[in-house]
Amino acid sequence: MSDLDRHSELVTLMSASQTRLLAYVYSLTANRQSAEEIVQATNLVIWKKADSYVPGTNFIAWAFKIARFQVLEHRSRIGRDQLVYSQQLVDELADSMVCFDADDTLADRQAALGVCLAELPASRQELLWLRYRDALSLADVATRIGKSTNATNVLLHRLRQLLFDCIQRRLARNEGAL
Amino acid sequence: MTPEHDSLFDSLLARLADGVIAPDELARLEQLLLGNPERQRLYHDYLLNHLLLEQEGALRAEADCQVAPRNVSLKLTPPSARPKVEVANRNQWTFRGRRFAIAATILLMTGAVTLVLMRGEHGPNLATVVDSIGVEGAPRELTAEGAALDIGLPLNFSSGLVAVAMPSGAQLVIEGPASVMVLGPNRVQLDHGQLFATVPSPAIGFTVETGAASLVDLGTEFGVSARPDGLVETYVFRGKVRAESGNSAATLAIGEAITASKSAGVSAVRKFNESEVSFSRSIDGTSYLSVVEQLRPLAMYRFAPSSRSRQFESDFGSVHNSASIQGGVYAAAGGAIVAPNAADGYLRFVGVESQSILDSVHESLAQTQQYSIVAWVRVDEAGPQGIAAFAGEQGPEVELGAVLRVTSDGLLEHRCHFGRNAEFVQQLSTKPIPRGRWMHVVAAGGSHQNLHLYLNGEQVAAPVKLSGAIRTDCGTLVLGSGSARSLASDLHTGPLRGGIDEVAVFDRCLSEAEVQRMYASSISGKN
Repeated sequence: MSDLDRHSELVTLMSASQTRLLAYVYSLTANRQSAEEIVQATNLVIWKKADSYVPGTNFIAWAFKIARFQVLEHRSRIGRDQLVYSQQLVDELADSMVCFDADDTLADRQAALGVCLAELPASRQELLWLRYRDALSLADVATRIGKSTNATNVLLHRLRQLLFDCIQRRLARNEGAL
Repeated sequence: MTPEHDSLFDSLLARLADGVIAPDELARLEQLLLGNPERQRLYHDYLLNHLLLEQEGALRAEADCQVAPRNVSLKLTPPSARPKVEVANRNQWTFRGRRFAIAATILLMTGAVTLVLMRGEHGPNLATVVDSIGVEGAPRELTAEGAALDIGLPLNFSSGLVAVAMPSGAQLVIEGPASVMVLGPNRVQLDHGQLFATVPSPAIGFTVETGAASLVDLGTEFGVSARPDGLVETYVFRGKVRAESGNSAATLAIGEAITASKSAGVSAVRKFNESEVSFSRSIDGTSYLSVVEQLRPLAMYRFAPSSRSRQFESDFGSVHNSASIQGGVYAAAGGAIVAPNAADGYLRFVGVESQSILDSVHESLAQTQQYSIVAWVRVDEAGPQGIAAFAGEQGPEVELGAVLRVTSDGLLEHRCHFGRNAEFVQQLSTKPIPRGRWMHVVAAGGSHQNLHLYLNGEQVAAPVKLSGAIRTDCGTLVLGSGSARSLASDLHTGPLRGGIDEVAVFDRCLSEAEVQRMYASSISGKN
């Protein structure tokens, strides 16, 4: 494989794995901003280590390993008081998430999300879009709909749960069909 | 797992996703996760689904923007006739196009490997012009909003700004004179011109090919300036960029820059100060030029390297954009100004007797009895020197109206002459102005009104009242001063040694809020 081919494949794989990587790091850090930064650092390492990636092997597992190391580095840089989770939990999560990501493709999950969203009543969708399309904070959504932040948090959670249950059902159905 | 724990677990997940979880709640969440693979799975999926919802929301926001009315126009047409631009904020861009990354694939196209990201449900598979401003030298159908930029089709334009959305999610602002070509959904070729790229994480790997180097983005904001002589400069404003040229390469982090050439490859990485460089990062409703246009100037001038001046045509019918140059530093060419030095993107005055005489605005001043002169100004050397003035010829004499100059003490002076007996009032800044730095300067006033003088958005002199009527016969804007018989002799002022750019003239006295809004919209100083 030429360098150009290798470069193109790596770019494709990196692009396709960004959401997975972010979810992985977000799970390990429980901090969205830190997760974005760590994913960026991970991208850089992946790029630098491009030569050590063997085409055709499990890219996401390789990327997760690098990301895990970056999370450890991040943890060693920040103060103890800023650590959210213990090392034990980070290790457990990191080990288990490698397995989770083999189960379904992101494209399947996204497709299921699209279908499930369409099944929601318009008023429910609009509440979700206040939070996700208009990028309003929880407090702003609460103000907009005239409810307390706690009540809004619960409402949003129920909607998310509805969606996620629907997604799981659809993914399970897909699996069964295979 | 007890039902109580499930309920608490759900509640904690929701609070984490909505960004309102407290430290003690995180500790509780950890307890619930430890040693429990089932909950760990739910936790991971919940956050993954939450991220996917964010992406879906961002895509919908983007789709809304594409059909929304626009609030900025290129020409100074009446507000009612103006198309409008919806301002896209950075958060919306963060996830823009993430969908495309999912179906990424590689296609071989005409001998070159081109990464093509498959068409998503919500977007086209082509680079698209999302906005443009002041574009000259290119067919309108290539730069109009919504125009598709086909792979391999060169886009050349002599001046103006074109904003392009790549299918991958990368957002580009290209500043003319430029020659650019889309090579693929996540790759462009910049032969010359300036390009600013905002690259969300799904579009990492976005590549700018230049004659001297390949610049590969790793999730960032960066600017590339490709000069006609082959030198390419790259500046990273956020994130990281990999620059590769032949056998040399460098990774740039925030605040770092390199220069690359075909012969010398990639230079050593150096630090840069954002105020030293000028990239147009957006042309949405909050960019400096857009804000100035929204305030409806009579005319505005930008001075591009090696090209005709960018003249934003005035809708004030009697103004003709004539320009004449004296002193030999700049040459007049068909009513436009040509800078002699390709590296200069502004009017550069080098201390000889030179000036640039721009529009005549007599009629407008006579009508409103008010004025504002707005400019980015850089003074390089000490000594008295003129910056801008309204002047008028009365037989052999040159009369002056409003004048903006630097005194021998280095203070900024706004002077307004009135009446027939050379009476004037003046304002002086309380402190000397800095040298060698671009400053946003505004002088505003009107008949029987207070004069105002602003430096970088702040009033730097006490307002002083003009007790007469402004001289409406002095309606020609002179930049750079220096004419021996006019500014120099009357004001004991020498020619400017420095630069002027983005000059806007108004026939009204801008408010402090308007001046501050203008200045605040200039992200990194002069564009």
